[in-house]
Amino acid sequence: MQQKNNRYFYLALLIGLMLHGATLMFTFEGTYDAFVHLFFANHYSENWFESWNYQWYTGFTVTSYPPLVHQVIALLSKVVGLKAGFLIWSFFIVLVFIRGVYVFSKIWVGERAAAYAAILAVFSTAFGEALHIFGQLPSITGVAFLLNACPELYWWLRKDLRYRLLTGLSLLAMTSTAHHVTTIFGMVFFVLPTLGLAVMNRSAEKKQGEQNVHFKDIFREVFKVLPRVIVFGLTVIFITAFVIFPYWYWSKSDPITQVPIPHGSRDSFLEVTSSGLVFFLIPWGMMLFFLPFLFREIVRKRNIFVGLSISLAFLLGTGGTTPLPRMMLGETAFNILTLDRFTYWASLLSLPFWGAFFYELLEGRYKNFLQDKFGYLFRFVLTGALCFGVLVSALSVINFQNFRATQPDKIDVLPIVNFLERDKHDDWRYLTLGFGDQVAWLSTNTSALSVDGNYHSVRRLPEMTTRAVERLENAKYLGTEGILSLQQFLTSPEKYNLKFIFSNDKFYDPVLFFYGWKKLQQLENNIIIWERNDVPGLASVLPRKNIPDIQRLMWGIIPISVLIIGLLINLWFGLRYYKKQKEDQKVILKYAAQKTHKLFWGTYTIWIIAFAFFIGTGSAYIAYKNYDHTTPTNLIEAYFHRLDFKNFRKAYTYFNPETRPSLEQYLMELSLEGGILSSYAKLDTIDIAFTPGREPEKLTANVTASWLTALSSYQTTHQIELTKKGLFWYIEPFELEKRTPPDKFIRRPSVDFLSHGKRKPIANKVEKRDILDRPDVYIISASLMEKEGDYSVVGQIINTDNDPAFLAVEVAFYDDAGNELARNNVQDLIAHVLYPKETTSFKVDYDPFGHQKIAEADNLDSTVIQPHHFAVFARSLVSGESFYKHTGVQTVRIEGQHTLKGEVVNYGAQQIIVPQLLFSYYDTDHQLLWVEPYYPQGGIRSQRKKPFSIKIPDLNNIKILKNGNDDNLRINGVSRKLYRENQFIPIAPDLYPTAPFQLNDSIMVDINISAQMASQSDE
Amino acid sequence: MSYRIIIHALMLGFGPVLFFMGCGSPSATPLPDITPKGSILLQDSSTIAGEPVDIYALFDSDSITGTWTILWTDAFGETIMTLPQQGGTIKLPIPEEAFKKTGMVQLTLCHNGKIIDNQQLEIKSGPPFGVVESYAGAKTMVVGSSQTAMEIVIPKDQFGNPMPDGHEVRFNYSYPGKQPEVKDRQVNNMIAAITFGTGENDGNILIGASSGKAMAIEETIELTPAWPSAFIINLISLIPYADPRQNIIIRSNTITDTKGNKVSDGTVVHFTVLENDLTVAQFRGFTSNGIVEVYIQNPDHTADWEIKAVVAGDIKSNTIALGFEVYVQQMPITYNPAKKILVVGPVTGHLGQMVTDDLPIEVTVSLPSTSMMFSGKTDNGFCTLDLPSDFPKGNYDYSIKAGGRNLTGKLNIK
Repeated sequence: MQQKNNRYFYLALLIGLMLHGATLMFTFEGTYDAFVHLFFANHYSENWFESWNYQWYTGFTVTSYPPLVHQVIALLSKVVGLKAGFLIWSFFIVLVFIRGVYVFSKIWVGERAAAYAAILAVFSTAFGEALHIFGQLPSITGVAFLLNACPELYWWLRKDLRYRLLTGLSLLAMTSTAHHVTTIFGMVFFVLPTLGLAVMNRSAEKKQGEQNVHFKDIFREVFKVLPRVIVFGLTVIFITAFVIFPYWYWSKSDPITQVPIPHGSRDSFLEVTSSGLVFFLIPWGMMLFFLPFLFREIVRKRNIFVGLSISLAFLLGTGGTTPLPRMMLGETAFNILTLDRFTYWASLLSLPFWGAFFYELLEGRYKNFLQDKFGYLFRFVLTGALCFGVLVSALSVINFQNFRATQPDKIDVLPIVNFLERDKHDDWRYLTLGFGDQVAWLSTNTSALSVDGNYHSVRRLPEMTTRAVERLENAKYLGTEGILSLQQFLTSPEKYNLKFIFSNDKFYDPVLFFYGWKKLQQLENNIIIWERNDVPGLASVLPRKNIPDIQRLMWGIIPISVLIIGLLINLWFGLRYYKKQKEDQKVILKYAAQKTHKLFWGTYTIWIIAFAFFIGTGSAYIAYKNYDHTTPTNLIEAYFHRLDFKNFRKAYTYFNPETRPSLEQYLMELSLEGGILSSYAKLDTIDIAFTPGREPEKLTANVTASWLTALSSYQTTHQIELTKKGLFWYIEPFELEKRTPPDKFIRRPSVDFLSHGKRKPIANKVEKRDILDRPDVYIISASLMEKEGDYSVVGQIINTDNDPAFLAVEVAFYDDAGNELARNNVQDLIAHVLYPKETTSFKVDYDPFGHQKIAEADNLDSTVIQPHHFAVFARSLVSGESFYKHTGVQTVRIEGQHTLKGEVVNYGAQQIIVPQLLFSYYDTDHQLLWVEPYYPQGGIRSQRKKPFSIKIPDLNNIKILKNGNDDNLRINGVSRKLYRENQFIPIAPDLYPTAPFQLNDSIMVDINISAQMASQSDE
Repeated sequence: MSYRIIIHALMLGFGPVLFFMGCGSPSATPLPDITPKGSILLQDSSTIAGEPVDIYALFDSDSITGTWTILWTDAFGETIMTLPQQGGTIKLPIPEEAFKKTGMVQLTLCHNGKIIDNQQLEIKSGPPFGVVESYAGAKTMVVGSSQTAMEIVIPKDQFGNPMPDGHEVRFNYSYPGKQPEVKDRQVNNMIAAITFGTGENDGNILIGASSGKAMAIEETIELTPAWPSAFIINLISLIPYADPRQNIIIRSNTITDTKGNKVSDGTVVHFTVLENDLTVAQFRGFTSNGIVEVYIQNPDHTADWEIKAVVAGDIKSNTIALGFEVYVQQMPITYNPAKKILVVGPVTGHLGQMVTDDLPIEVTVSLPSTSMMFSGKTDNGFCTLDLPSDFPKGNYDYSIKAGGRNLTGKLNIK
């Protein structure tokens, strides 16, 4: 029997290694966390005792994460490289995990069931998810060691074997160095029930059977063992504190100030079904079918402690589905912890009983019952179906990324690394957009510094810690807050020495373009590099936080020593006491004595049927209700969602087959539209109102769609005609722009500019004769304005030079006493590049907190000190970019009282992808009052026009607080007066003609057009 | 017995006397003069950088006692050399490197820390060598302005020593369109400099500098055009009908500054369209080779326009006056009771052609008590306007507006 059990155990090890070993090679690069761990490993590999890493954020300490796994991979990487080191350690941990499940299960369900549990552990969807989807190697390592530690501690307390205490403690020490949270919570969920079982069995032994054990016997035994348990507890606390002492020191001295970041495990799984799938259905998987058996087993007397554990973990793992987890954990802990770990632990704690279930089904009472009652075939089919389900669910989880990508397509980082290492580009920081978790792999391969990172617990920049934004690089998935956070870094890149952005997502193209970033080049891996001019490089000495040398030595020596010593201890004692353990530790559960109540089978059958019925009919009902053509609302929502995800072929099927154009015609008409909404927007919300159509089977849908772009939110309104044919609804095709340009072939002169930079290819040196002078620009006017409690500086700048000029404008705001309140840069309310003799208006909003817009969005109160004075600092650089100027505005008029309408014309030879209109409002004295941007929804093709309609701001509420003068207007570091006296400007700048359009008796407006062209996006 | 007393008294007496005679200041007995004699002998009191001279230390005797040192002090600091214990004439082991840097060298001979002799050696710079270091700026100047630019050069010898004050440097330069000129300047405080004013013509000032056989890399200072002056715009193409699909092409003459230089490429010019003294459109262009060209859309109604151009700084052009006639000649309207739609068309233009797509059509139908306006655009010469399903029947007056034409009539809607 023992031999057969061992065979099953060895089979489990073999299957585990084959299944996870073979598949992990293909899945680990698509997991969420694998690259983060490789990044840490690379850090140790390069400098084992260095505690500070400069590469992420503005530097962080690596003692913020228990180091064992990272250090092991670092050591292995010296021989086989980082990725192979990760895989080798993973393979080892898979084996340790399977062994852990086996030995842990033995104390609960006996050897045979434990063997089945070990095999089932290989196919555990919770384990598969943690390994192949999340890539959480440290927590897997921790729980693997913890599972192996529990039986050691059981036998220590059960049989007073002191050496088992030593082995158990060594395994707990290894757990702490791998993942401290596992130790802390593991004591509650794993170790305490194990010790409880040991106490129970001690009583049972004395009472000759657990049926004779009562609570008073248990309490008596508890008091007997309490002193040593207390000592054990204190020892564990000491070990956990000591082996990763620098971590605790860091968390105490540099506590996390990060605001809670949303996580799907805290959602209500009934409302957010995608979170329910990932954090409940997948980890439980086929085990959901055996929940009645589980809860029946864990209410048995001997299993009461683990029953409490499983129940508590099960409940906490349901996240926000019920209010109970929040009440039990408290608001702070609930919002900081990710609750998927509880489901993970609950499913691991249930594995022994899952094994017991299969034991009963394959060899035990259930097998006999089913065979006697329903026959061999039925039992065979049922058992086969369950086994098949286990196998399929495991394989589905392992291959999850093939069904639903969790990362962008794999990015070859080598071209980026080459770029950073060339020509001192790593003298600045960089940022990535749209890389997913591959940002960590890029950081692993380069020594350049990034302003972002992939471990938000160590962030210290207030701009990041005050936002519930996980990473800048996936800002678009985080709504308005994410976009605003990103915009702040794009507006003031010089503050962070941020010069380069590597973009893998064209969603961000408009915000990069209109915030003054220049598209530099496209690399061989299709990553676009954007560059910002006039950003100072990193200082040669960067700030860092040092920890005492003793802690650096502890961090570098103790964790790896704990692993080596722990393995040696377990190996030594395991070999020494091998035969004795085999005899002493047999656990035989007398299931035969356990009566199966007659109601059990009925209950279980009802559960299976109800569950299957629920899944089946629920799925059918949901499928029917969600079928796109069933209702007008479904149809409209489906159509917009298809457009959002660029699934145009599917969107085409929603049109009336009798009236729609051909697919080719439809796709061609769509491709002509262009613009910020069709190319760079994410759908946020849809509101639909229906009005009856001209006929009974027709409806008119008035749709208001909210779109999130990297620049701002948009609302679009659409009137869509719907027709019902039979049971289903269809959309009538829309009319698109019909305008036919007059010319078949266009010739337009253009001007190309090129700033060579280095004319001689010398690495690491720029010759002075290659540096161009800053072009001459002039601040015509600047004024501090107040509008409804908000403050801004508006002004005008002209390029008086003969070269195109890139502009950066910074405004300092001061209080009445002259104390500086804030320094804010201009964002998109300016034309960043001016051609010779071109003017632009600008507006810089007073934003002392750096997140005022977010405060407004969240309706938070942000007390603002009123600025009384200001200073404008304009800097210019020669720009070699060509900008499109073949535009005009016409038919500009006021309709009603507050609506300004007109048309933007593109008379050139290129397509404008995203136009920007900058409206500058003046009074009749040509005093600039206000500046506002507008981005028309669509692009403008050559020789075509686009209408615009905007609401005129209420200019009566605008107050001029102060006008700028020569003293507080500075150009390239020089006062305006000095500039004027040395520049050849023909007339007094105050008399520059401004607004050409007279809207009414009191308002004039000027409209400046900037255009992002097709060549400046990756369309 | 008594003589013993006397002797003891004498000893006792003389002892203290002798003792006290020994106290007090020692007598200033002159010591023999043992100051060693030594001197420094230079082969030459000056040399050229890189050409070592022999320097000797001379002593009276064949051997010397005490510690003799030579102190070499130059602009880079002090170097101490300890001499061997031989006398006579010692050639000082000065390394060749020491002779490569120009300046005055102070040589001091010391014995036991006491200065015995001082000499000076002047190391002068060699002839200019290699590429002369040069800097020119400002990199651009505006023609006709009061701006200035300068080039400075620092000629050096082969060891990097600058030339002494008064050293001649020759500057050769040429302004755009002018003959090259030569000017000589002298080095002052390592630097020779020449300033440039702006000329009349735009282009590059090319500058070369040389000093002996050493030459500087060519530098350029760009002379850029001054502010544009008033210019002329010309009508190139016009289709004088209210067809918004057509374009007016306007082109400027070559825009120049007051000195006749073409303005720089990319100079932005704004074209303003006025109708009844109100601005109705503004178009933008930029110069290429001094000329700007713009395409302005025709109006969609009959109109009299004035078009003028301006460059910032109130630099204006002439004004072009244009008139636009009616474009649409015919636009019949019919009512389709089955589909409850109004159909306008075929809409024809001034050449009898079907008008192109996207021409705005406005139809107003009215009764004495009510009126309703419908608008659409032509598609293949026709415009279809849907009437609401509950549109009341009746004999309506209609007016159609399109392409500058207004038509009225009566329409029976059943």
